[in-house]
Amino acid sequence: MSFPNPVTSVKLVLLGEAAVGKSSLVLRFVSNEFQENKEPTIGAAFLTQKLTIGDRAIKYEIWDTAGQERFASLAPMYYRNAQAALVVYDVTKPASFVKARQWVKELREQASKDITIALVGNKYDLVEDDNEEDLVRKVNVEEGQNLADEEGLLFFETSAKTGYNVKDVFVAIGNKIPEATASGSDTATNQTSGEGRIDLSGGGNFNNATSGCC
Amino acid sequence: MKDQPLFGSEESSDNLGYSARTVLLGKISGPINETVNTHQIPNDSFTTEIDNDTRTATDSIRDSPVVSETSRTPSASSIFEKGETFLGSNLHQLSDSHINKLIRLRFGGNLLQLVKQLLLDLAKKETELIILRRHSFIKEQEFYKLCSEYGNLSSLEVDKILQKSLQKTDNSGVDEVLLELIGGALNEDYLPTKEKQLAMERTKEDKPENIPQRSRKREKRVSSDSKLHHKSNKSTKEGESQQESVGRIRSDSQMSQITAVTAPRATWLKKWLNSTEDLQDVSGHGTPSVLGSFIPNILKPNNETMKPPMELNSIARENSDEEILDSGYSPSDSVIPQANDFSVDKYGFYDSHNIRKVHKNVSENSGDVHTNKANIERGSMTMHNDASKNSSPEAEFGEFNILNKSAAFVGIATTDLTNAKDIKSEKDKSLAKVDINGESLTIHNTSIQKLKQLGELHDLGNMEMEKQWDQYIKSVEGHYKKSNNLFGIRGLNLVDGKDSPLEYYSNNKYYRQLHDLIDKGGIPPKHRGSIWMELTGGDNLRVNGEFERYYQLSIDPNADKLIQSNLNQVDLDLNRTMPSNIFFNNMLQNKPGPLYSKLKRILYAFVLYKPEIGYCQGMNKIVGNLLLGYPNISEEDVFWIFVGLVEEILPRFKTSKLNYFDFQSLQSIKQDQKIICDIYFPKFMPKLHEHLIQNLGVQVEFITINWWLLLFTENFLTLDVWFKIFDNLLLSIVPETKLIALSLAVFKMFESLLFNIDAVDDVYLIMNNLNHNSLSKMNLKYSELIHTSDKFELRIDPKKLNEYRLAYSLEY
Repeated sequence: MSFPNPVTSVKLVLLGEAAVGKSSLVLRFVSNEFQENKEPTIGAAFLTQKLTIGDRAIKYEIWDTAGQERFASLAPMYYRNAQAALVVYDVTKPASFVKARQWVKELREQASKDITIALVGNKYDLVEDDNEEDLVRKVNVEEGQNLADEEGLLFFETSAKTGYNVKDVFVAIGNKIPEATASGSDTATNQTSGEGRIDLSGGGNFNNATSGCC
Repeated sequence: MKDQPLFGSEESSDNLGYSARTVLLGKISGPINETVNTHQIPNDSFTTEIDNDTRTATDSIRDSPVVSETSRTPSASSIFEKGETFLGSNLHQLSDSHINKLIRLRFGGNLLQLVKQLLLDLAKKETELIILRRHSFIKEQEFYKLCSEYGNLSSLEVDKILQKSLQKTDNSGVDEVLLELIGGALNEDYLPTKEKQLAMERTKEDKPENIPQRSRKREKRVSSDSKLHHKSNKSTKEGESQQESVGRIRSDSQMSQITAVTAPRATWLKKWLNSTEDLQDVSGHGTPSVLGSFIPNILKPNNETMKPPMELNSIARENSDEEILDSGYSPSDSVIPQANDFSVDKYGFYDSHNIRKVHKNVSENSGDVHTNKANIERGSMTMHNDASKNSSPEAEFGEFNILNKSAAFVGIATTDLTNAKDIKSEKDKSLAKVDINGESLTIHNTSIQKLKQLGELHDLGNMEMEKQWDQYIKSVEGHYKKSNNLFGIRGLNLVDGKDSPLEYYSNNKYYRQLHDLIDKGGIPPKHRGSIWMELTGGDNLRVNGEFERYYQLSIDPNADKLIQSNLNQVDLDLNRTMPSNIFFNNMLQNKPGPLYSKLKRILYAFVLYKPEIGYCQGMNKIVGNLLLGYPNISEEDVFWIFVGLVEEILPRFKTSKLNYFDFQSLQSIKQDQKIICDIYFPKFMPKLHEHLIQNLGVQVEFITINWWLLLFTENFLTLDVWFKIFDNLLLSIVPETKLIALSLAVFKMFESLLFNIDAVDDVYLIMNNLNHNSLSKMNLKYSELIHTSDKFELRIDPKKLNEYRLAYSLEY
């Protein structure tokens, strides 16, 4: 397998309140794993993942930022040149949706004009079995959808735990990124080095990475 | 747990799958005679059930996957109901006519029956799988333990050790193991209650037989032996299919282990099988000890051969129970696994490799068996062989500064060592005073011996270091004629304060010695607590009883809103702090470890102590590390050490008004990263700067800011190195210059690697994930790092730095 077309690089930043599952989304996307207690991100974490959409190869360069409020002032550093942003909230925490709204606003004002923003309501697994009396869900789908419509955002509800919709978010972002932004820079020549690395559909094949203990 | 088999059961790829199953089965349902029999029952019952006139059909079915499935899974049937036929799950491979026949013959044409049967079979399979996984986790833990006792062993070497211990051990203790196994199985939740009771009764019944004399045991063993022989000779086909089945079941997650484990097992089993020639005929009333005889007796390590290396500064928390009581745990909660039951390093970090798998199993089994919040600290990067993160020689070597050869060290076990001489010379260099006689360094043939020698040298080194510290402290006490508050903040009690910082070093013998000792190998665990307390100034700040008072204040529900929100953030992060450490997250019992609540109280109290700072993510990690710093550390001490660190040691900003962790300091910290990038990086490493920043466009602040906010806790694969860095930081007169120097020194360590990288994101991937990355253990050598950072530090003029800071703050 090789990529006939140059790889499109997408610089992507994740924003959102603490513990909404930003790092978990990335972990699910990058290594198809889930950790119940993901250590809090300090500063920002950097990860990459490649994905083939149709005949396009897209490389996501992901900056996963810290969620604690006091680190918010660091965020501009990371979203300044980003082409895409995932604004994440927790569907069971209204405050996180308020925060998401603020992030969207800030991005609209401060980030580059053509940034692609996806609004992501995470922890869908917690509300999957919601019944009428006992609502775990605190942010309705409609609320999310409305905000997305108003601001022209992509919108998804996801579960990093089950993997639900996670890949879709990134695919949707990839589709929105015009071919033109394919990086002509230094990285272009090295792009093929990671080919065939990912097979998200396969699931569970990351066991290959493990080996004997000593 | 000590008496558990090291390589008990299921990992087998030769035709011993059967025995493996039997061990496992014995663990679950107790009496083993049954397990042996049940193995045959399904097959037999199946055949007898079928009419003679349909023999042809039967035969073809027998050859079909369905039947082989039956023979493959003896244990599953006995887990549920004795003697029940097991249909298996690959019916789909049969032709339609076969299936029709099967339905007609077995279920009288009732499809519903077939479906039920299939569902039941499926459930059995699942159970079996779960049991196997659980079992193998424990086995693997033990395997790792063995490995870490000996260092990085190749399977060949493990094989040798096992052989050796097999020869030396007798058969005693097997029955205890058996009982323990059964008892353990009975306590496991995943057995249906009914089965549990049944098994319980069986065990009771069998007990008398389980406490036998030697001869009896031998007989039993014999019986099982011959059975096994019989079995494997009779139907190799069955053997094969069992083997296949074992392999298949394990393939999802444990495959990787098989290779490591198979070789030694194969050997001891073969050996053991071969030793059955003198057996007489067996009356074969399958005795319960069949299980026992399947268990290799290597778990009773010969004290001589298996003696663990002396670990002077090991953090063996032998009195962990006391600790737990200390920390307010109810005694019933206090059963934390002894660290040595599992593959954890001396600081209690699980073997990440294992945890990864357990975690995966857990999440995939929807948590039926272990609902634990099993986790790994950092899993996103591939880090296969991080076994060496454990107390393998490499990690321990971090104890003093001969990490220089650590890179080579990783490879020692597998490649034949020809560079022992190098190691010797390294040792000589760094440990001139340790008496290394040439004899003990003679190059032996096996790496094990070399590792042992290195272990000895390491111990000698540690001993020597500790001796030096003891002597040093004694001499300081003698000279200053006092026994407490010897050093003071940053060690400044040792000097009279009239000189400039540089002169302290040259003028004061004791100050210089302190520096040298810390540079050499950090503070030994034994002295850590008291010296940290002095160097951070925690001693001076400490007010007895205040810690408790702050904590009590913090749990007042009427606390102010800001405080409340800080505490909420602490709560969010507590579960997420060192989830891969047994003292914070007791995975196997699905509850927090003893240090969890200590961490909580320290962070809570700190929020109340400094409400204007509150809680900043990253503190959890720093305090967490400190808690692991020395045995029996008291949370109050750690609290004051941390307070001292924050109040006295860490840089302040805006003419000292802003504390390092203050919310508003972030801007200044960011600025300092800019200064590193713009001024000191090109100054100290012009070529690397050109490559990374000018050519690739790397933004260094993206990398270094994480290091600063976490005080480098994420930079080092082993805690030992971090402790030394921390010790070193405590001596810094101008801490910001130390932090800058350290940041750049880390880059310097990776210089040659970074020169070979041409993609900006690869630089981020490496430098932002240093301790996910095995590269870091090869490149971050404490002595070199400290040497480099000391050199850099001398070149940073604090006055100049302040000028830059002023200029930058105007600019932004």
